[in-house]
Amino acid sequence: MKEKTPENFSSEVKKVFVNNTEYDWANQTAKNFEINDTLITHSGTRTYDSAGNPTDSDNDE
Amino acid sequence: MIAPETRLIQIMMSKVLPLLSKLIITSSVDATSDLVLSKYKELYGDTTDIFRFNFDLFNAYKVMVTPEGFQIEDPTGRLIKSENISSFYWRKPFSMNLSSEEGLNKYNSSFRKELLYDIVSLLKKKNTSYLVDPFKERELRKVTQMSLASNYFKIPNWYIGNSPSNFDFSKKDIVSKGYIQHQISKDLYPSTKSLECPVSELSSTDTWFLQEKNESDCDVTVVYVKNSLFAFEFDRSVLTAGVDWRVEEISAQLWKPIELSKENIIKVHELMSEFDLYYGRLDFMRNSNDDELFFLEVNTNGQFAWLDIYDKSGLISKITNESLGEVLR
Repeated sequence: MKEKTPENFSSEVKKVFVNNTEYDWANQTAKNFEINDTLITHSGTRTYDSAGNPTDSDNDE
Repeated sequence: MIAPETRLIQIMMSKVLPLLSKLIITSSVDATSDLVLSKYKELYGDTTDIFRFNFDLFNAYKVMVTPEGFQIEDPTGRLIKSENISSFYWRKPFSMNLSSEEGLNKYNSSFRKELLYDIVSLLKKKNTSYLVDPFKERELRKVTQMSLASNYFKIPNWYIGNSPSNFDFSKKDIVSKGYIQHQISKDLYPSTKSLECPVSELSSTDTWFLQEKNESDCDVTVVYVKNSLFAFEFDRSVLTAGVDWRVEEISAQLWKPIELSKENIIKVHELMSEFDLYYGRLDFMRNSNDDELFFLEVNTNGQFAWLDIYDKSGLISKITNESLGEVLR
């Protein structure tokens, strides 16, 4: 029987539009910044698994 | 030789920020920083005394560290000097997978990170106000967290090591948990998953973080912000594919604000005092039919905005005030 490795218990991720947000130097925020329900999960601040769910660690360094 | 009048005009036209300046250290794509800055503008009228340093755009700034201190200038000419900084907010400057980091050699990447830690270390020594301690992520690791937390909360039995077969779990259902806090390979992240196999089938050449599965039906997360608690709960019955809510398609709206019992509030205060943290997001589990909390971990720089995106619970205002506002440590 093949041994299980930590990779068997990890989640696959894909990179999603992390750097597509144009930064507004004058206002010090994203140019398209607006508050809505998807602000955090779709603003490019996080990475996502294959289902499109955020997978970045809370402690990323 | 510059005429005194010319020099005076130059000084007046320079964009040195007001004496009480606030530094937010983050990345250009951090929407939580956008949110906090927006809230700051709403609360204080403008953001002219805040300098946002986007670490991913390092080369867009002029960074200078000398025996006299440091200064950073952004492309608009806005300039912040260390001697003028009253508070700083460490807001996830090292976002992963930023394309600007691609191609950057490891030496430069490491150099910049170490320099940034040097800068915040200097600010801490100057008694600058801060909410999030950048060094706590490295200092307060999982084992220490669980060791201290066990004085206040129950913790499912756990094991870390490379010989799990030699450890006696009292339960049959075991989960593998993430221990390292970043990617383990190009496309893989650690997450919490049920083993669904005997511990004896685990590779003995790898190191494991295993824990007895907690059957509680609610996830609880508590955002602690300088003596204020913001608690939210998530009903796990909607989970279909596993034990980790982060890897399922879960709407942030399913996290509901809750009131903790007085006993649990006191425990959280005492534990955070023992952790020596002013900010942290504590993760627990509990059964819906009782108040007992099972401690999982504290994230010393945990995400929070998705819990209260419209500031209905006052969490965004509290963070903004305590990280960049007039409330000094």
